[in-house]
Amino acid sequence: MQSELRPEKTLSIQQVYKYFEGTKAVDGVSLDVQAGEIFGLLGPNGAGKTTLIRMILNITQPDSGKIIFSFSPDGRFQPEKIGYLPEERGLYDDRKVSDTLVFLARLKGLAPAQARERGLLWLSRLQLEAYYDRKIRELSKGMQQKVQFVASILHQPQLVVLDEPFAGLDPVNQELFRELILELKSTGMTVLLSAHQMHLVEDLCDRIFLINQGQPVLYGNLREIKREWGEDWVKLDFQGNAEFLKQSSLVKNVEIRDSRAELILKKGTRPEAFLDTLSGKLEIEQISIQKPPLHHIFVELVTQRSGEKK
Amino acid sequence: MRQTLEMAHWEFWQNLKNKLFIVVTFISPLIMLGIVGIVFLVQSASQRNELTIALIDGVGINKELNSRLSGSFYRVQVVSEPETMIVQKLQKGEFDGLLILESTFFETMRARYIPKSRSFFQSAIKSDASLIAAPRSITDALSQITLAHGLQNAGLTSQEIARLAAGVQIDVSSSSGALQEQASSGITLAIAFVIIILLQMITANSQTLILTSVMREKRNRVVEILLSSISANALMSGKILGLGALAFLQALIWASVGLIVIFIGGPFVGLPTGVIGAAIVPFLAWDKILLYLIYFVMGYFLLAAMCAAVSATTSDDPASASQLNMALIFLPPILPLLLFTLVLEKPDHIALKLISFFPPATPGMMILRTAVGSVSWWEISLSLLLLAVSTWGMLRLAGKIFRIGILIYGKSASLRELWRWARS
Repeated sequence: MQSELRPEKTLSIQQVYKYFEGTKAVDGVSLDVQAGEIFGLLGPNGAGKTTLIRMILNITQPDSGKIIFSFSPDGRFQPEKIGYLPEERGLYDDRKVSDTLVFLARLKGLAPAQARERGLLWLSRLQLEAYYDRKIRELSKGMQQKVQFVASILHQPQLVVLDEPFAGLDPVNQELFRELILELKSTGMTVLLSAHQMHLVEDLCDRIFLINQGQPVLYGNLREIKREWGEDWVKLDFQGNAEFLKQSSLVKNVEIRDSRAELILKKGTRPEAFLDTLSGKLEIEQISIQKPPLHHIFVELVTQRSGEKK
Repeated sequence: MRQTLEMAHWEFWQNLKNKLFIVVTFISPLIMLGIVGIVFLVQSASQRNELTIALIDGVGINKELNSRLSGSFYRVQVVSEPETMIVQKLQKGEFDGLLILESTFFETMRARYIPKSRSFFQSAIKSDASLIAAPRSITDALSQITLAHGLQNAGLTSQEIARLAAGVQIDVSSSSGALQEQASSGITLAIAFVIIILLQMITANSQTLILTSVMREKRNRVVEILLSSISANALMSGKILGLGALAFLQALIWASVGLIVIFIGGPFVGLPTGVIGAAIVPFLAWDKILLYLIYFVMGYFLLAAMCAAVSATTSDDPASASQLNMALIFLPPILPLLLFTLVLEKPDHIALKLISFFPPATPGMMILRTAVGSVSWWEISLSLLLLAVSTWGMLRLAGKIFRIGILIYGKSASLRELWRWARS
């Protein structure tokens, strides 16, 4: 099989299906991951994300469909070109950090000396060099997560799959991981990111794929998705009586507290048209109009789909 | 192959550095040595302590009796006090028993024996004293004396009696080195036994190591990282190789300690073990030993693959996996040892031939049968072929089961699931 991908695509998933005892875990998923982008793989718990990730990583095989990698001449999976940080975190707790890093890097084809050198460098970056020869069990949970992150990128893969990298981290470490992921992108690495922290996904990802009950729900550029969603969010600080907003035909939803109102405009409503309805009725102190947050789109779509299924 | 070796290297060295492994490897022989030492000390102490039996000698055979008891723990001491007084002395522990030979002993052929004290179990049996047997050495010595006495009365000379007492001796003569062959087959049988026990020991040890390793990787989820780097087959084969090598090293250490103790300690107890060892070498049947090693290696891979599959398909509870492994992996190879007597008497028995072609039992049975007698070349070839094919098949099948089973957390696989995985 010849690689059917252009170099700008790192990964292409084509009509992939996976069944478990009659249940469709992944139901006809197709997507492309561009080289050098941060791609968000989103979905509620049990949506099929982990199954899809396991198939990308060759841990399980699709029942049908193709998964093609551009970095391989025949399009096949090449473990040394891929890194993986699994959702279920764990390392050999009775082994040393150094031994574990070198072992996992060796499995990816890295020479031991090189693995040691790079491991020490990364641990220094994360201020963990003092733990290099300590046993994993002596590290805190956050430290272990950092070590596992290092293990996933030590061999400098072309594609790294990060499954819930922010889970269980405090805000400081979440910010650190956010910076590290951006740094990986700056080196040209392609990042496939699965996370539930929508604000971080929104901040990091170029494109996203939303999966629910094994089926594709949303796919594409994040900004375009938001634009196409068409419901602008308005935050308004005002003086006067804003009760008329509740009857407005342009407003889908409104919440008024004292002199502040938060509104969602109906799909297709131009912000200018809404602003016209305010003139002369309210004294506006501050107004912001934004595209809806990803969190809202996610919840709306997943709830809607689940309702349809029922 | 590179990844399999990386995995084997990791498993070998990391487990070698494990404190528990070091303790088990080096403390176990010390405990064994301690037990052997205690047994030896107890035996030599008991050999030094003679048991003195009081003898009321109504026929005057005390000298002859002591002469016949030389080499045993017992010696008799003639007493002249009445029986009741001796019994009292017996209770005080002055004697270890009382033997009463009435003047009519040679006519009645009956003697009485009163032991020092009854043990708990002897007291628990509320039966008559006849159930408590007199020491075997004393009974035998008295029988020999009465026999000699009878023969003397029948008119035989003391030389004739001595000749009859010496018993029959059969001299074995041989042609074309049959004696050497016999010696060689004895040594080969001993080696066969050692190899079968070694196979059991290494399989048992590596089974524990494989089980622990698989359970740990399932529990801490490292398995997902591993499977994104290497195939399930490479992961499984690496474990089998690395942990097998480790179990082999452990057995080697134990065997070396045993040999060192035998060769160094032997001369101290009057055994010229060095001389015996040197004498054995010319009798070693190297062609058979090579064959045993082939059976051994294939047998190990077959059993270890079964063990890996079982470990991957059971829940995170090591106890249930261990029980399954016991039933599947330990019982078939032990079969030849259970049938040892039949193998010795009739190595060509049809049942044994059939068991020889049952792959999990093949190594043990064929090693034993070839050590005992000559087995036809077609049986050896067929058993090797079947073993090779089933080992290869089991590695493939176990690989399939392992690949899916190792990703199932918190529950054991049902037979239906196993069947589906095997067909996948």
